[in-house]
Amino acid sequence: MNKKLLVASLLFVFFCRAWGYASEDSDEYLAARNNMRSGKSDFAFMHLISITRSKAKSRYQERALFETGEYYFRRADYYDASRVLKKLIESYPDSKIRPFALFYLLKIAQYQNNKALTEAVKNEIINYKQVVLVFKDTKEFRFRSIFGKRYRLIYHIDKIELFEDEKLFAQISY
Amino acid sequence: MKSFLPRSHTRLSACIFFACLAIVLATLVLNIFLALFKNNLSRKLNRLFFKPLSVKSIYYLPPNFIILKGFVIYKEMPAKNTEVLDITQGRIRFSILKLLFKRRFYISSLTCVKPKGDYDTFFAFVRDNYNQIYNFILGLPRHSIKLSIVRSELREQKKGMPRKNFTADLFLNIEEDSFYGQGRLASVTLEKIRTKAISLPVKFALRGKLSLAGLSLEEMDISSENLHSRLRGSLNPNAADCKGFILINTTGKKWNLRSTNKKNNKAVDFSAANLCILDIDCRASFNPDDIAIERLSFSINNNPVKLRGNILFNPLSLKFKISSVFRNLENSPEGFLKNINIESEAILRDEKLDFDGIMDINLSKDKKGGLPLEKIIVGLKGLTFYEGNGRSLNINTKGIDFFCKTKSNEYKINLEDLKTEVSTSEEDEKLIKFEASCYSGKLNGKAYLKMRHFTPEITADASLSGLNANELNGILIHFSKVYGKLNSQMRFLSYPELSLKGMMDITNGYLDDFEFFKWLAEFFDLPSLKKFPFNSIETDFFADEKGAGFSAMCLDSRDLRSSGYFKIGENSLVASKITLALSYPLMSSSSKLTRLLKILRKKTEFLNFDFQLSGNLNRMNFYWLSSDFKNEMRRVIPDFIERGIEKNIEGFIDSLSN
Repeated sequence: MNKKLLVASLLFVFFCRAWGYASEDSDEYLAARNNMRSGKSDFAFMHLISITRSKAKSRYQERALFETGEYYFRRADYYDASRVLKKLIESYPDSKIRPFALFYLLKIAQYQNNKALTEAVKNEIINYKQVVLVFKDTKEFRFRSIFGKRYRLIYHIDKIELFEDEKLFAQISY
Repeated sequence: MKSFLPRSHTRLSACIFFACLAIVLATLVLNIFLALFKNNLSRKLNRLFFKPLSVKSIYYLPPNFIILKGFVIYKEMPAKNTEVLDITQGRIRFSILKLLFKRRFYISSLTCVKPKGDYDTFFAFVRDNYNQIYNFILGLPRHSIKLSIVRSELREQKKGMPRKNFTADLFLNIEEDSFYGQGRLASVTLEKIRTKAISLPVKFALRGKLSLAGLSLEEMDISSENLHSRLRGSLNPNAADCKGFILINTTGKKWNLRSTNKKNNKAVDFSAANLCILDIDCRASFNPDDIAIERLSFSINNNPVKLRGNILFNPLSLKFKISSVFRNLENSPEGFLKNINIESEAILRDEKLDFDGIMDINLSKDKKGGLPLEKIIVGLKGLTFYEGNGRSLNINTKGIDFFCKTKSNEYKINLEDLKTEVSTSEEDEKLIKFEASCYSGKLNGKAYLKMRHFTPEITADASLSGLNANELNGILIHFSKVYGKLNSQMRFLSYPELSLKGMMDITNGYLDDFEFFKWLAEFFDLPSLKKFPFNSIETDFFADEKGAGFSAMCLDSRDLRSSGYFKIGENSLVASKITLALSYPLMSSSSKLTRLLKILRKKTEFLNFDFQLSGNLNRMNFYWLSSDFKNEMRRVIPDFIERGIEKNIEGFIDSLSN
């Protein structure tokens, strides 16, 4: 009886802790969104940074990692952008944001003129999703970041395109 | 009459005259003695040597020479065709002082002029009497003696081949326990009367010691225009060992001379050597039936090689195992080879070499570019070499098993009764003709081989005919489901890059449970596609360092036609477009397709499905290309059914990829 009580208590503490962190992330993310609506992108970024440092995994952290990477990229801080985007890819292998993050890493590799990394990232993007186009000519996935950027990822049979606010951001042909 | 010369002069002349007369008389007497007792002397000589000898005549020449004419060594009782060596003239110099004062016949030098013999007979004699020859040499008296063999000649005559003469000179000084000497070897090929091809002489110099334990070679230098070697070792009746190095120059450039620190002294600069065999360490033991090579290790251009084996005598055969961490001969740290292991057995019979063996080659995985090969194993059974008519070398094998492994697949093919004829002309480019049985079919073709430094440049054309297609399942697993007679023509190039191209056709066959058609049969309820006959399948194919694939594919049968291409490029990326045409009667037999046919506004003989494949081979993307039929279907079928069909096709594509 005492043992069962002990296990139950430990589980309770664990879930409370996780719930606590997740709920903190949720609050931070809400704060970041509110700051963005007010036009304070830098303050929003600070909240996002706080989420990325959180110990628990959450869907907010997944988004925050991408959006901080996006923020660093806009400021040409490719080192930090690369760092947080890689953390997203490693920590969330099944994330739906993964291909968007990979495209950012592809761009960084191209800017750094790193041919080996460019090829490696290209292969990752190509191998990420298997596309079956029977009745459609393309498959499309959309994502909107906290900073207001609208992304469209379009899979053709022989190329993949990423549009950012309807402008072509990057393309891979194969 | 009085003499006008002074008295002293007269006496001197008289003394000289009488001295000459005495010498002449002594010479005559000695020669008569030698002639009379020639047989006795011959018998004494026979007691000194372990094989029969005979001497035609013995002469004395003043002051201290004995001449032996027609000195012959036999392998058995003196008879015709048992001669091993026929020495035209032997010259013995002896010490008169030791003969007169110590009454000992002390030979100070021995010269053999023009010893002649048959090459094969001589070497068989040495091989069969090795121990006796060894003991004879060790039993020689240990005082200073000079031994010279001048203009020796061994003749080799093989059927249908020009006669070859091996010539040698040797000058050896033996002083008590040590010896030193030098000599030269050369060969002369007599193609026609008065025309000769002379190989460049090999010179050698050696020194060593003789003892009861055996012969110790402290240094032996062998050199020629394109070879330099220094070896040392020891020899006794039971074993021999040897260490040293060999430098070979195949570039055609001469060895240069460089100045040394010593005045007016130049040494040979061996930096032109492009084949360096270093750290030679060999030990062999001699047994009654064989020679066991207990170890032989060396490095050739920084590639270490180890060999162990046995040389057996009856019949002459060789068993050995070689292993090597072999990369390349260009002394480059990078190479596509990782290591090579060879196990084999070779038998020499009737001048033909019979060879069985397995060669296992492991390739470096780290080498970027090139074919993704990891391992190659070649097994040979009954490989024989023999010289053919004219300028050719015949290489035949009863069986060859070829296996290779890439990162993702294994391939194997077996050939039987492979016959190869290699031209041995002087030209740089050699022609090789070959033919073999390949399962139920025949392979034949020809190839041109040229050496670019140490890299072979091969261009080969071959044709394969009458083969049952499913027998090639070792090369491509899908062939196990294809039946029919296969014919193919192909070209292989090794330079500037590896490539194989060709065309193939399979006629009057059938596909049995072929994956793609099996799925079509299940998905569209067309059971006849599980096993359906075809008139022909034709395709071009290629494989090179960038990828492999089929192009201009064409399948022709009564109810189904297919065409297109399928290529796999770098990083296993697929590029393919295929058209599938199903006949109206075939489609009418399907419960699922009958409903679809009603959608069609007009009846056609064949209905085409065009689709495209791309992406990674293990996760291929699929795209049904636009067509009137597709547009009609989209118009009629609700979205949820569309999604259902897409999911089903997605599942199949996934299983096909895996």
